Amino acid sequence: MNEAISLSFVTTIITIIISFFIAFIVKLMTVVLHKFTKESNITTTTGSVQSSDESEIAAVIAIAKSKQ
Amino acid sequence: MNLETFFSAFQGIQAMMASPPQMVLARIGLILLGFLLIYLGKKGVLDPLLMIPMGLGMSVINASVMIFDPLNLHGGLGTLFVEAQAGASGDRIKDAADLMYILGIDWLQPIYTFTFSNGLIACLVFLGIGALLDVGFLMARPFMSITIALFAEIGTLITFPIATLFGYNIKQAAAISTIGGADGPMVLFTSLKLAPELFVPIAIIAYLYLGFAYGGYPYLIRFMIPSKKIRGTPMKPDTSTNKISSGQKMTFAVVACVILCILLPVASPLLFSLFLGIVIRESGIKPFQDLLTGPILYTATLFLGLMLGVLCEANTILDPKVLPLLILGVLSLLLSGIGGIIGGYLFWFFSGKKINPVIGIAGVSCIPTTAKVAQKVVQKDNPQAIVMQFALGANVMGVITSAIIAGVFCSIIK
Repeated sequence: MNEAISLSFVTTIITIIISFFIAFIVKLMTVVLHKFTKESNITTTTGSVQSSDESEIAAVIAIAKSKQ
Repeated sequence: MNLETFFSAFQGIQAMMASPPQMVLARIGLILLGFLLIYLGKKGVLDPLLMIPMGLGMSVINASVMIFDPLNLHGGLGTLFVEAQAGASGDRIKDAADLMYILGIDWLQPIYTFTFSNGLIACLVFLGIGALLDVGFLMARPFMSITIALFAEIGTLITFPIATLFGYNIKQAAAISTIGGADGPMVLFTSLKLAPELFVPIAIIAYLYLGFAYGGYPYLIRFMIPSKKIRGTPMKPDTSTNKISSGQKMTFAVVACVILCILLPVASPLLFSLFLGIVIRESGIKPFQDLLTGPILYTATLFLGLMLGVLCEANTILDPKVLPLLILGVLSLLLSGIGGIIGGYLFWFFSGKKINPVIGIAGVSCIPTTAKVAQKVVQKDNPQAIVMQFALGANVMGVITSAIIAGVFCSIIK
């Protein structure tokens, strides 16, 4: 039990560090790349609908967009 | 002609008569459970893609037991489907010989040996899922998505030590706790790496419970967020996702994949499969996209369901180690759901009540089921509220967080 608790704790710490590191990379990348990306490359999320799940999601998002 | 000769013409009945009574009852129970899964799959209560092949496989495997045991593993009884224990004795020469022998007998053995026991099936499913994922939702709000996803891993992290109280060793407990991540391929991968002896029951219970999550989580949301007004909190329509180009998404996928593989090489097959799917989606290679999201994903899902069903033989399920799994699986998913909603509440509170706490449930990485659950619950209380985009960000990050935890488990637990 004690070993499992300490392993669980270590896993939590490592996961938090890696996750926030990834989040930081994403943020940095989004900011940096946005300056070099031309408007024409921008794609919408509904551009490549694949499955019924995606169709459903795309439909909800389309409603959200129409409200903007 | 005596009665014995007569029954030898019907080997299934003969095998039933040769089995202990509790085994016969278990087999009949599993045949009926298979029927129930098919029915619930057809009705849409459970995922039909998995449950229909799984249900039929479960019924048929328990019906087609006969007096046949080429490797002498089950006291003279066996089937012509698959032998999961072949090649698991630890003696490499004997294992190789057993595998070669059984590959020529059991018709599903090649699928099991070459796609299940090495984790390939989980990677194939992840390739397909990756090709369906839009990481733009995550990239638009990385810190919120990640925080919610981390809260929704509470079930995994708490169930892990609790499982050791039920007599499981550290590796088995870690494998069981990954059910809380609510990510099928991840559960398959981790249990195959850490506790192959429990892979079958863990995988079956994980997929069964994931099926029920769609029906059960709305009750948990309503219980934890009793106020209709809070549940229906409208969120400002999001425009940031549209500003993220496919090039940015692709760059993120490539960089994140390489970084995560450096950090967690044990989970690199799974991480690589997921990010390869994302890269293919964003690169716009239509033939590859169609291949991954169609034939590969559906073939892998069909064989996953079928194999999980045929592995549900009464011998496996009657193992005393299986029963506590039923409790631990529910506990793990319940705690993850609670954790996710707590994460949602935190954002609701700190954003000045502008973020709907229901999106917290989407941190549980059963993609896109939990995001759809969040939208369904919110829309019921406020038909004008759209939270899907925000929920999907947490959902996508949930998959990545589950992969990180699987990688950490496989790396630190020896």
